[in-house]
Amino acid sequence: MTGKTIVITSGKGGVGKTTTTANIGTGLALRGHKVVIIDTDIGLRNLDVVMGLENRIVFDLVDVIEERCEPSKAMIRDKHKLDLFLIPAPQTRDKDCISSEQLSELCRQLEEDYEYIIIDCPAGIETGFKNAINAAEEAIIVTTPEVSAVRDADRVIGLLDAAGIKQPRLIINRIHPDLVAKGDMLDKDDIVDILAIDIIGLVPIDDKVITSTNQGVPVVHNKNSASGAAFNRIAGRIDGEDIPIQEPQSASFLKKIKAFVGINKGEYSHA
Amino acid sequence: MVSQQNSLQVIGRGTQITFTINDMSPIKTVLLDVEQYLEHNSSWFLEGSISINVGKRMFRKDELRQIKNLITIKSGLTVSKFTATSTQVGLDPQKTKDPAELELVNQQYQPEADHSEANQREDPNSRSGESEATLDPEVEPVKGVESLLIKTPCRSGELINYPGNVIVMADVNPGAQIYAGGDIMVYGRLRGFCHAGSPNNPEAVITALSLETNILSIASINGTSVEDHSKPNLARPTPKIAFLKRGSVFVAPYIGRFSSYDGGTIYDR
Repeated sequence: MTGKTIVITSGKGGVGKTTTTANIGTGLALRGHKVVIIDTDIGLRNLDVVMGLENRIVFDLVDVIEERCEPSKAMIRDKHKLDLFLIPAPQTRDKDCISSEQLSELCRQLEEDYEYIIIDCPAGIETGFKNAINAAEEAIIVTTPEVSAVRDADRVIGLLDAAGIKQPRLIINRIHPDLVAKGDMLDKDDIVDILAIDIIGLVPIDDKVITSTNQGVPVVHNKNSASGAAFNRIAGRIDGEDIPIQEPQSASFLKKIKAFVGINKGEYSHA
Repeated sequence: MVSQQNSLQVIGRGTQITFTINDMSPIKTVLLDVEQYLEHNSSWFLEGSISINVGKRMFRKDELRQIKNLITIKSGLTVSKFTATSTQVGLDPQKTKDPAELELVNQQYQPEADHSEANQREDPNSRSGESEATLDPEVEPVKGVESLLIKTPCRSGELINYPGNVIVMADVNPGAQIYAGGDIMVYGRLRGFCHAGSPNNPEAVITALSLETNILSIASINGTSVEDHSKPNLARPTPKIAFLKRGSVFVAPYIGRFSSYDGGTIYDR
Protein backbone atom coordinates (compact mmCIF):
# COMPACT_ATOMS: atom_id res chain seq x y z
CA MET A 1 0.00 0.00 0.00
CA THR A 2 1.34 3.44 -0.81
CA GLY A 3 -0.32 6.20 1.10
CA LYS A 4 -0.43 9.92 0.69
CA THR A 5 0.87 12.50 3.13
CA ILE A 6 -1.17 15.69 3.35
CA VAL A 7 -0.25 18.68 5.48
CA ILE A 8 -2.97 20.96 6.86
CA THR A 9 -1.50 24.43 7.25
CA SER A 10 -2.51 28.09 7.36
CA GLY A 11 0.27 30.38 8.55
CA LYS A 12 -2.04 32.27 10.88
CA GLY A 13 -3.03 30.69 14.14
CA GLY A 14 -6.57 30.07 15.30
CA VAL A 15 -8.19 29.55 11.89
CA GLY A 16 -9.08 25.91 12.57
CA LYS A 17 -6.16 23.75 11.40
CA THR A 18 -6.48 21.28 14.25
CA THR A 19 -10.25 21.01 13.97
CA THR A 20 -9.92 20.55 10.21
CA THR A 21 -7.27 17.85 10.67
CA ALA A 22 -9.43 15.95 13.15
CA ASN A 23 -12.49 16.18 10.94
CA ILE A 24 -10.79 15.29 7.66
CA GLY A 25 -9.01 12.36 9.33
CA THR A 26 -12.26 11.12 10.85
CA GLY A 27 -14.15 11.73 7.61
CA LEU A 28 -11.67 9.64 5.63
CA ALA A 29 -11.73 6.90 8.27
CA LEU A 30 -15.56 6.88 8.16
CA ARG A 31 -15.20 6.15 4.45
CA GLY A 32 -13.25 3.03 5.35
CA HIS A 33 -9.70 4.25 4.85
CA LYS A 34 -6.72 3.60 7.09
CA VAL A 35 -5.64 7.00 8.38
CA VAL A 36 -2.91 8.34 10.66
CA ILE A 37 -3.05 11.90 11.94
CA ILE A 38 0.15 13.41 13.29
CA ASP A 39 0.26 16.42 15.58
CA THR A 40 3.48 18.32 14.85
CA ASP A 41 2.66 21.24 17.12
CA ILE A 42 5.31 20.19 19.63
CA GLY A 43 4.93 22.02 22.93
CA LEU A 44 1.37 23.17 22.18
CA ARG A 45 -0.46 19.97 21.42
CA ASN A 46 -4.20 20.15 20.84
CA LEU A 47 -5.17 17.42 18.43
CA ASP A 48 -5.45 14.83 21.19
CA VAL A 49 -8.00 17.02 23.00
CA VAL A 50 -10.05 17.61 19.85
CA MET A 51 -10.07 13.84 19.24
CA GLY A 52 -10.93 13.13 22.89
CA LEU A 53 -7.82 11.00 23.37
CA GLU A 54 -5.79 13.03 25.86
CA ASN A 55 -6.05 10.41 28.61
CA ARG A 56 -4.55 7.64 26.52
CA ILE A 57 -1.20 9.18 25.65
CA VAL A 58 1.84 7.16 26.72
CA PHE A 59 4.34 7.69 23.92
CA ASP A 60 4.50 10.60 21.49
CA LEU A 61 6.05 11.76 18.20
CA VAL A 62 9.46 12.54 19.69
CA ASP A 63 9.62 9.12 21.37
CA VAL A 64 9.09 7.58 17.93
CA ILE A 65 11.66 9.80 16.23
CA GLU A 66 14.25 9.28 18.95
CA GLU A 67 13.54 5.54 18.70
CA ARG A 68 12.41 5.01 22.24
CA CYS A 69 9.41 3.11 20.90
CA GLU A 70 7.96 1.66 17.69
CA PRO A 71 5.56 3.93 15.76
CA SER A 72 2.73 1.49 16.47
CA LYS A 73 3.22 1.98 20.23
CA ALA A 74 2.71 5.73 19.94
CA MET A 75 -0.34 5.46 17.69
CA ILE A 76 -3.56 5.89 19.65
CA ARG A 77 -6.67 4.39 18.14
CA ASP A 78 -9.78 6.50 17.70
CA LYS A 79 -12.56 6.20 20.32
CA HIS A 80 -15.04 4.95 17.74
CA LYS A 81 -12.82 2.03 16.74
CA LEU A 82 -12.29 3.39 13.25
CA ASP A 83 -9.04 2.69 11.37
CA LEU A 84 -7.87 6.07 12.59
CA PHE A 85 -4.73 6.58 14.64
CA LEU A 86 -3.24 9.64 16.30
CA ILE A 87 0.45 10.26 16.91
CA PRO A 88 0.41 13.04 19.52
CA ALA A 89 3.02 15.71 20.03
CA PRO A 90 4.94 15.96 23.30
CA GLN A 91 3.96 18.89 25.46
CA THR A 92 7.29 19.27 27.23
CA ARG A 93 9.67 19.68 24.29
CA ASP A 94 10.09 22.27 21.55
CA LYS A 95 10.01 22.29 17.74
CA ASP A 96 13.78 21.96 17.32
CA CYS A 97 13.92 18.46 18.77
CA ILE A 98 12.90 16.87 15.45
CA SER A 99 14.30 17.45 11.98
CA SER A 100 12.41 17.49 8.70
CA GLU A 101 14.35 14.42 7.49
CA GLN A 102 13.29 12.43 10.53
CA LEU A 103 9.64 13.39 10.08
CA SER A 104 9.79 12.62 6.33
CA GLU A 105 11.29 9.23 7.07
CA LEU A 106 8.49 8.45 9.54
CA CYS A 107 5.85 9.47 7.01
CA ARG A 108 7.41 7.31 4.27
CA GLN A 109 7.40 4.41 6.71
CA LEU A 110 3.74 4.98 7.61
CA GLU A 111 2.76 5.31 3.94
CA GLU A 112 3.54 1.64 3.50
CA ASP A 113 0.73 0.62 5.84
CA TYR A 114 -1.77 3.48 5.75
CA GLU A 115 -3.66 5.26 2.98
CA TYR A 116 -3.67 8.78 4.37
CA ILE A 117 -1.16 10.45 6.67
CA ILE A 118 -2.47 13.84 7.72
CA ILE A 119 -0.10 16.27 9.39
CA ASP A 120 -1.43 19.02 11.63
CA CYS A 121 1.02 21.87 11.06
CA PRO A 122 1.79 24.41 13.77
CA ALA A 123 1.02 28.10 13.20
CA GLY A 124 3.82 30.33 11.95
CA ILE A 125 6.43 29.72 9.29
CA GLU A 126 9.37 28.65 11.45
CA THR A 127 10.97 25.29 12.18
CA GLY A 128 7.76 23.42 13.00
CA PHE A 129 6.13 24.58 9.78
CA LYS A 130 9.18 23.70 7.69
CA ASN A 131 9.40 20.23 9.19
CA ALA A 132 5.72 19.61 8.49
CA ILE A 133 5.68 20.79 4.87
CA ASN A 134 8.90 19.00 3.95
CA ALA A 135 7.37 15.70 5.03
CA ALA A 136 4.22 16.15 2.91
CA GLU A 137 3.57 15.80 -0.76
CA GLU A 138 0.21 17.58 -0.78
CA ALA A 139 -1.09 20.52 1.18
CA ILE A 140 -4.44 21.88 2.25
CA ILE A 141 -4.54 25.52 3.31
CA VAL A 142 -7.10 26.60 5.85
CA THR A 143 -8.14 30.22 5.95
CA THR A 144 -10.99 32.30 7.29
CA PRO A 145 -12.71 35.11 5.39
CA GLU A 146 -10.54 37.76 7.02
CA VAL A 147 -7.91 39.90 5.34
CA SER A 148 -5.22 38.90 7.83
CA ALA A 149 -5.80 35.16 7.42
CA VAL A 150 -5.88 35.50 3.63
CA ARG A 151 -2.61 37.45 3.66
CA ASP A 152 -0.92 34.73 5.71
CA ALA A 153 -2.35 32.03 3.46
CA ASP A 154 -0.86 33.87 0.48
CA ARG A 155 2.55 33.85 2.13
CA VAL A 156 2.24 30.16 2.95
CA ILE A 157 1.29 29.30 -0.63
CA GLY A 158 4.47 31.03 -1.77
CA LEU A 159 6.55 29.07 0.74
CA LEU A 160 4.89 25.80 -0.26
CA ASP A 161 5.66 26.61 -3.88
CA ALA A 162 9.31 27.17 -3.00
CA ALA A 163 9.30 23.86 -1.09
CA GLY A 164 7.97 22.00 -4.15
CA ILE A 165 4.28 21.62 -3.26
CA LYS A 166 2.75 23.18 -6.34
CA GLN A 167 -1.02 22.65 -6.11
CA PRO A 168 -2.23 23.31 -2.59
CA ARG A 169 -5.99 23.33 -2.10
CA LEU A 170 -8.02 25.72 -0.04
CA ILE A 171 -10.58 25.36 2.73
CA ILE A 172 -12.40 28.53 3.74
CA ASN A 173 -13.50 28.05 7.31
CA ARG A 174 -16.00 29.95 9.46
CA ILE A 175 -18.01 31.57 6.70
CA HIS A 176 -20.89 33.70 7.98
CA PRO A 177 -23.48 33.34 5.21
CA ASP A 178 -25.48 36.29 6.50
CA LEU A 179 -22.51 38.65 6.47
CA VAL A 180 -21.47 37.46 3.02
CA ALA A 181 -25.01 38.05 1.73
CA LYS A 182 -24.90 41.59 3.11
CA GLY A 183 -21.49 42.17 1.55
CA ASP A 184 -19.78 42.70 4.89
CA MET A 185 -17.49 39.69 4.61
CA LEU A 186 -14.99 38.55 2.01
CA ASP A 187 -16.72 35.99 -0.13
CA LYS A 188 -15.36 32.91 -1.84
CA ASP A 189 -14.60 34.73 -5.08
CA ASP A 190 -12.67 37.53 -3.37
CA ILE A 191 -10.43 35.02 -1.65
CA VAL A 192 -9.87 32.87 -4.73
CA ASP A 193 -9.09 36.04 -6.64
CA ILE A 194 -6.21 36.83 -4.28
CA LEU A 195 -4.90 33.32 -3.67
CA ALA A 196 -5.46 31.86 -7.15
CA ILE A 197 -5.72 28.24 -5.98
CA ASP A 198 -8.49 25.63 -6.11
CA ILE A 199 -11.08 25.40 -3.37
CA ILE A 200 -11.66 22.00 -1.79
CA GLY A 201 -14.32 23.07 0.67
CA LEU A 202 -16.33 25.86 2.28
CA VAL A 203 -17.19 25.41 5.95
CA PRO A 204 -19.84 27.62 7.57
CA ILE A 205 -19.46 28.87 11.11
CA ASP A 206 -21.23 26.50 13.47
CA ASP A 207 -21.65 26.42 17.24
CA LYS A 208 -21.62 22.65 17.10
CA VAL A 209 -17.88 22.73 16.32
CA ILE A 210 -17.27 24.25 19.74
CA THR A 211 -19.43 21.76 21.61
CA SER A 212 -18.05 18.78 19.72
CA THR A 213 -14.47 19.94 20.32
CA ASN A 214 -15.17 20.17 24.02
CA GLN A 215 -16.68 16.69 23.97
CA GLY A 216 -13.75 15.29 22.01
CA VAL A 217 -15.94 14.05 19.16
CA PRO A 218 -15.18 15.59 15.76
CA VAL A 219 -18.22 17.32 14.29
CA VAL A 220 -18.03 15.21 11.13
CA HIS A 221 -19.76 12.42 13.09
CA ASN A 222 -22.83 14.67 13.17
CA LYS A 223 -24.02 14.59 9.57
CA ASN A 224 -26.92 16.88 10.39
CA SER A 225 -24.71 19.80 11.26
CA ALA A 226 -23.81 22.18 8.46
CA SER A 227 -20.10 22.10 9.30
CA GLY A 228 -20.06 18.31 9.78
CA ALA A 229 -21.64 17.82 6.35
CA ALA A 230 -19.14 20.27 4.86
CA PHE A 231 -16.17 18.37 6.35
CA ASN A 232 -17.68 15.12 5.13
CA ARG A 233 -17.84 16.49 1.60
CA ILE A 234 -14.21 17.66 1.89
CA ALA A 235 -13.17 14.14 2.93
CA GLY A 236 -15.01 12.82 -0.13
CA ARG A 237 -13.20 15.27 -2.41
CA ILE A 238 -9.82 14.27 -0.97
CA ASP A 239 -10.88 10.68 -1.60
CA GLY A 240 -11.29 11.57 -5.28
CA GLU A 241 -15.07 11.85 -5.44
CA ASP A 242 -16.53 14.53 -7.64
CA ILE A 243 -18.70 16.53 -5.23
CA PRO A 244 -19.68 20.04 -6.32
CA ILE A 245 -18.70 22.92 -4.03
CA GLN A 246 -21.73 24.15 -2.06
CA GLU A 247 -21.89 27.70 -0.84
CA PRO A 248 -23.15 27.93 2.75
CA GLN A 249 -26.72 29.25 2.83
CA SER A 250 -28.00 31.64 5.42
CA ALA A 251 -30.70 30.41 7.77
CA SER A 252 -34.22 30.45 6.44
CA PHE A 253 -36.79 32.86 7.79
CA LEU A 254 -38.60 30.07 9.65
CA LYS A 255 -35.39 28.98 11.40
CA LYS A 256 -34.70 32.55 12.43
CA ILE A 257 -38.17 32.72 14.01
CA LYS A 258 -37.52 29.41 15.75
CA ALA A 259 -34.18 30.67 16.98
CA PHE A 260 -35.84 33.83 18.24
CA VAL A 261 -38.42 31.95 20.30
CA GLY A 262 -35.80 29.44 21.47
CA ILE A 263 -36.82 26.27 19.69
CA ASN A 264 -33.92 26.16 17.27
CA LYS A 265 -33.46 22.60 16.10
CA GLY A 266 -32.04 23.58 12.77
CA GLU A 267 -28.52 22.81 11.67
CA TYR A 268 -27.43 26.37 11.30
CA SER A 269 -26.79 28.93 13.96
CA HIS A 270 -24.16 31.56 13.99
CA ALA A 271 -22.23 33.09 16.82
CA MET B 1 23.32 66.57 -34.92
CA VAL B 2 23.60 65.70 -38.57
CA SER B 3 26.54 66.59 -40.71
CA GLN B 4 27.23 65.78 -44.36
CA GLN B 5 30.59 65.60 -46.07
CA ASN B 6 30.96 64.27 -49.58
CA SER B 7 31.98 60.82 -48.51
CA LEU B 8 30.83 60.88 -44.93
CA GLN B 9 27.62 61.32 -42.98
CA VAL B 10 27.72 61.75 -39.21
CA ILE B 11 24.64 61.33 -37.05
CA GLY B 12 24.69 61.84 -33.32
CA ARG B 13 21.88 60.75 -31.03
CA GLY B 14 22.58 61.21 -27.35
CA THR B 15 25.93 59.63 -26.71
CA GLN B 16 25.71 57.42 -29.80
CA ILE B 17 27.53 58.78 -32.84
CA THR B 18 27.27 57.00 -36.17
CA PHE B 19 29.64 57.54 -39.07
CA THR B 20 28.13 56.39 -42.34
CA ILE B 21 30.59 56.03 -45.20
CA ASN B 22 29.51 56.67 -48.77
CA ASP B 23 29.68 53.56 -50.94
CA MET B 24 31.20 55.37 -53.92
CA SER B 25 34.03 57.43 -52.41
CA PRO B 26 37.53 55.98 -52.63
CA ILE B 27 39.18 55.06 -49.36
CA LYS B 28 41.73 57.89 -49.52
CA THR B 29 38.97 60.49 -49.79
CA VAL B 30 37.15 58.87 -46.91
CA LEU B 31 40.20 59.02 -44.65
CA LEU B 32 40.82 62.64 -45.59
CA ASP B 33 37.21 63.59 -44.94
CA VAL B 34 37.18 61.84 -41.58
CA GLU B 35 40.34 63.65 -40.54
CA GLN B 36 39.05 67.02 -41.67
CA TYR B 37 35.71 66.50 -40.07
CA LEU B 38 37.16 65.55 -36.70
CA GLU B 39 39.58 68.45 -36.70
CA HIS B 40 36.78 70.94 -37.32
CA ASN B 41 34.31 69.45 -34.89
CA SER B 42 36.48 68.12 -32.10
CA SER B 43 34.39 69.91 -29.46
CA TRP B 44 31.40 67.71 -30.27
CA PHE B 45 33.19 64.55 -29.23
CA LEU B 46 33.43 64.87 -25.48
CA GLU B 47 31.76 61.63 -24.52
CA GLY B 48 29.89 58.70 -26.05
CA SER B 49 30.68 55.82 -28.32
CA ILE B 50 31.08 55.71 -32.05
CA SER B 51 29.77 53.18 -34.49
CA ILE B 52 30.77 53.07 -38.12
CA ASN B 53 28.38 52.06 -40.86
CA VAL B 54 30.41 50.95 -43.86
CA GLY B 55 27.42 50.69 -46.15
CA LYS B 56 27.52 48.10 -48.89
CA ARG B 57 31.17 48.44 -49.59
CA MET B 58 33.74 45.68 -49.12
CA PHE B 59 36.59 47.11 -47.05
CA ARG B 60 39.84 45.33 -46.48
CA LYS B 61 40.73 44.64 -42.89
CA ASP B 62 43.65 47.06 -42.85
CA GLU B 63 41.43 49.76 -44.34
CA LEU B 64 38.92 49.28 -41.52
CA ARG B 65 41.75 49.46 -39.01
CA GLN B 66 43.02 52.69 -40.59
CA ILE B 67 39.58 54.32 -40.23
CA LYS B 68 39.20 53.08 -36.70
CA ASN B 69 42.64 54.28 -35.59
CA LEU B 70 42.11 57.66 -37.20
CA ILE B 71 38.80 58.20 -35.40
CA THR B 72 40.18 56.97 -32.08
CA ILE B 73 43.18 59.28 -32.21
CA LYS B 74 41.41 62.37 -33.50
CA SER B 75 38.27 62.21 -31.37
CA GLY B 76 39.58 60.59 -28.21
CA LEU B 77 36.59 58.24 -28.22
CA THR B 78 36.50 54.52 -28.88
CA VAL B 79 34.85 52.86 -31.85
CA SER B 80 32.42 50.38 -30.33
CA LYS B 81 31.16 48.60 -33.43
CA PHE B 82 31.10 48.33 -37.19
CA THR B 83 27.81 47.86 -38.96
CA ALA B 84 26.88 47.30 -42.57
CA THR B 85 23.76 47.56 -44.67
CA SER B 86 24.44 44.40 -46.63
CA THR B 87 24.66 40.92 -45.20
CA GLN B 88 28.15 40.41 -46.52
CA VAL B 89 30.33 42.54 -44.42
CA GLY B 90 33.51 44.39 -44.41
CA LEU B 91 35.77 42.32 -46.56
CA ASP B 92 36.30 42.03 -50.27
CA PRO B 93 36.73 38.37 -51.16
CA GLN B 94 38.53 39.47 -54.33
CA LYS B 95 41.25 41.17 -52.33
CA THR B 96 41.94 38.63 -49.65
CA LYS B 97 41.28 34.92 -49.54
CA ASP B 98 42.49 34.22 -46.03
CA PRO B 99 39.58 32.69 -44.05
CA ALA B 100 41.21 33.58 -40.73
CA GLU B 101 41.08 37.27 -41.63
CA LEU B 102 37.47 36.96 -42.68
CA GLU B 103 36.75 35.46 -39.29
CA LEU B 104 38.46 38.33 -37.53
CA VAL B 105 36.46 41.04 -39.22
CA ASN B 106 33.22 39.15 -38.74
CA GLN B 107 33.89 39.15 -35.03
CA GLN B 108 34.14 42.92 -35.08
CA TYR B 109 30.86 43.15 -36.92
CA GLN B 110 27.83 43.26 -34.71
CA PRO B 111 24.35 43.15 -36.17
CA GLU B 112 22.39 46.29 -35.33
CA ALA B 113 19.48 44.34 -33.91
CA ASP B 114 21.41 42.68 -31.14
CA HIS B 115 19.99 44.84 -28.37
CA SER B 116 16.36 44.45 -29.22
CA GLU B 117 15.78 40.92 -28.06
CA ALA B 118 14.03 40.60 -24.73
CA ASN B 119 15.22 37.74 -22.67
CA GLN B 120 12.27 35.67 -21.60
CA ARG B 121 12.92 33.35 -18.80
CA GLU B 122 10.98 31.53 -16.21
CA ASP B 123 13.61 30.11 -14.00
CA PRO B 124 12.19 28.52 -10.87
CA ASN B 125 15.45 29.23 -9.08
CA SER B 126 15.16 32.91 -9.77
CA ARG B 127 12.34 33.44 -7.31
CA SER B 128 11.88 32.03 -3.91
CA GLY B 129 9.84 32.66 -0.84
CA GLU B 130 12.63 34.10 1.19
CA SER B 131 15.93 34.61 -0.49
CA GLU B 132 16.78 37.49 -2.74
CA ALA B 133 16.40 36.51 -6.36
CA THR B 134 18.98 38.22 -8.48
CA LEU B 135 19.65 36.68 -11.85
CA ASP B 136 23.21 36.29 -13.07
CA PRO B 137 24.92 38.68 -10.71
CA GLU B 138 28.03 38.80 -12.89
CA VAL B 139 26.19 39.88 -16.03
CA GLU B 140 24.55 43.22 -15.47
CA PRO B 141 22.05 43.81 -18.25
CA VAL B 142 22.01 47.22 -19.86
CA LYS B 143 19.04 49.12 -18.46
CA GLY B 144 15.87 48.51 -20.37
CA VAL B 145 17.31 45.67 -22.37
CA GLU B 146 16.79 42.42 -20.50
CA SER B 147 13.43 41.40 -19.09
CA LEU B 148 12.22 38.87 -16.58
CA LEU B 149 8.85 37.31 -17.40
CA ILE B 150 6.85 35.94 -14.47
CA LYS B 151 3.68 33.97 -15.11
CA THR B 152 2.67 32.99 -11.58
CA PRO B 153 1.23 35.34 -8.95
CA CYS B 154 3.77 37.21 -6.83
CA ARG B 155 2.68 36.29 -3.36
CA SER B 156 3.07 37.89 0.03
CA GLY B 157 6.67 37.68 1.19
CA GLU B 158 8.07 37.14 -2.29
CA LEU B 159 11.01 39.36 -3.21
CA ILE B 160 12.02 39.87 -6.82
CA ASN B 161 15.15 41.86 -7.47
CA TYR B 162 16.18 42.12 -11.10
CA PRO B 163 18.46 44.62 -12.84
CA GLY B 164 16.37 44.72 -16.06
CA ASN B 165 12.63 45.02 -16.72
CA VAL B 166 10.11 42.87 -14.88
CA ILE B 167 6.88 41.72 -16.52
CA VAL B 168 4.32 39.92 -14.35
CA MET B 169 1.49 38.19 -16.21
CA ALA B 170 -0.46 37.70 -12.98
CA ASP B 171 -1.35 39.57 -9.82
CA VAL B 172 1.14 41.12 -7.43
CA ASN B 173 -0.37 40.44 -4.03
CA PRO B 174 -0.05 42.60 -0.92
CA GLY B 175 3.24 41.91 0.84
CA ALA B 176 5.13 41.05 -2.36
CA GLN B 177 8.07 43.27 -3.34
CA ILE B 178 9.47 43.86 -6.81
CA TYR B 179 12.65 45.82 -7.43
CA ALA B 180 13.59 46.34 -11.08
CA GLY B 181 16.41 48.30 -12.68
CA GLY B 182 14.08 49.11 -15.58
CA ASP B 183 10.32 49.19 -15.99
CA ILE B 184 7.72 47.05 -14.24
CA MET B 185 4.62 45.90 -16.12
CA VAL B 186 1.86 44.07 -14.28
CA TYR B 187 -0.79 42.38 -16.42
CA GLY B 188 -3.05 41.98 -13.42
CA ARG B 189 -3.84 43.62 -10.12
CA LEU B 190 -0.96 45.43 -8.49
CA ARG B 191 -1.42 45.42 -4.72
CA GLY B 192 2.16 44.82 -3.61
CA PHE B 193 5.17 47.09 -3.55
CA CYS B 194 6.97 48.01 -6.77
CA HIS B 195 10.19 49.95 -7.17
CA ALA B 196 11.03 50.62 -10.81
CA GLY B 197 14.32 52.14 -11.92
CA SER B 198 16.06 50.90 -8.80
CA PRO B 199 18.33 52.39 -7.61
CA ASN B 200 18.45 55.48 -9.81
CA ASN B 201 16.82 55.40 -13.25
CA PRO B 202 14.29 58.24 -13.52
CA GLU B 203 13.17 57.08 -16.97
CA ALA B 204 11.54 53.95 -15.54
CA VAL B 205 7.75 53.55 -15.37
CA ILE B 206 5.32 51.19 -13.70
CA THR B 207 2.22 50.04 -15.57
CA ALA B 208 -0.60 47.87 -14.24
CA LEU B 209 -3.99 46.75 -15.53
CA SER B 210 -5.44 47.58 -12.13
CA LEU B 211 -3.29 49.73 -9.89
CA GLU B 212 -4.46 49.21 -6.32
CA THR B 213 -1.49 50.24 -4.25
CA ASN B 214 -0.91 53.47 -2.40
CA ILE B 215 2.88 53.31 -2.41
CA LEU B 216 5.02 53.38 -5.55
CA SER B 217 8.73 54.03 -5.96
CA ILE B 218 10.55 55.15 -9.07
CA ALA B 219 14.30 55.78 -8.99
CA SER B 220 14.95 57.32 -5.58
CA ILE B 221 11.49 58.89 -5.22
CA ASN B 222 8.71 57.36 -3.13
CA GLY B 223 5.12 58.26 -3.90
CA THR B 224 2.14 57.70 -1.63
CA SER B 225 -1.55 58.41 -2.04
CA VAL B 226 -4.63 58.19 0.13
CA GLU B 227 -6.90 56.86 -2.60
CA ASP B 228 -9.24 54.09 -1.52
CA HIS B 229 -8.56 50.92 -3.50
CA SER B 230 -10.80 48.59 -1.53
CA LYS B 231 -13.54 48.49 -4.17
CA PRO B 232 -11.84 48.37 -7.56
CA ASN B 233 -13.93 48.21 -10.69
CA LEU B 234 -12.73 44.83 -11.89
CA ALA B 235 -15.35 44.53 -14.59
CA ARG B 236 -13.83 47.55 -16.32
CA PRO B 237 -10.38 48.19 -14.92
CA THR B 238 -8.43 51.24 -16.03
CA PRO B 239 -4.81 50.49 -16.84
CA LYS B 240 -2.56 53.00 -15.14
CA ILE B 241 0.96 54.21 -15.64
CA ALA B 242 3.21 55.70 -12.97
CA PHE B 243 6.10 57.92 -13.99
CA LEU B 244 8.38 60.62 -12.65
CA LYS B 245 7.66 64.23 -13.45
CA ARG B 246 9.28 67.23 -11.75
CA GLY B 247 10.73 64.96 -9.07
CA SER B 248 7.40 63.42 -8.06
CA VAL B 249 5.58 60.23 -8.88
CA PHE B 250 2.51 60.78 -11.08
CA VAL B 251 -0.14 58.23 -11.98
CA ALA B 252 -2.24 58.61 -15.12
CA PRO B 253 -4.57 56.37 -17.11
CA TYR B 254 -2.47 54.39 -19.54
CA ILE B 255 -3.95 54.42 -22.98
CA GLY B 256 -1.36 52.31 -24.70
CA ARG B 257 0.57 54.91 -26.67
CA PHE B 258 3.69 55.05 -24.64
CA SER B 259 4.86 58.56 -25.37
CA SER B 260 1.50 60.25 -24.99
CA TYR B 261 0.95 59.89 -21.26
CA ASP B 262 0.79 63.15 -19.40
CA GLY B 263 -0.91 64.87 -16.51
CA GLY B 264 -2.20 62.45 -13.95
CA THR B 265 -2.58 62.61 -10.21
CA ILE B 266 0.40 63.15 -8.02
CA TYR B 267 1.54 60.52 -5.51
CA ASP B 268 3.01 62.85 -2.90
CA ARG B 269 6.36 62.35 -1.41
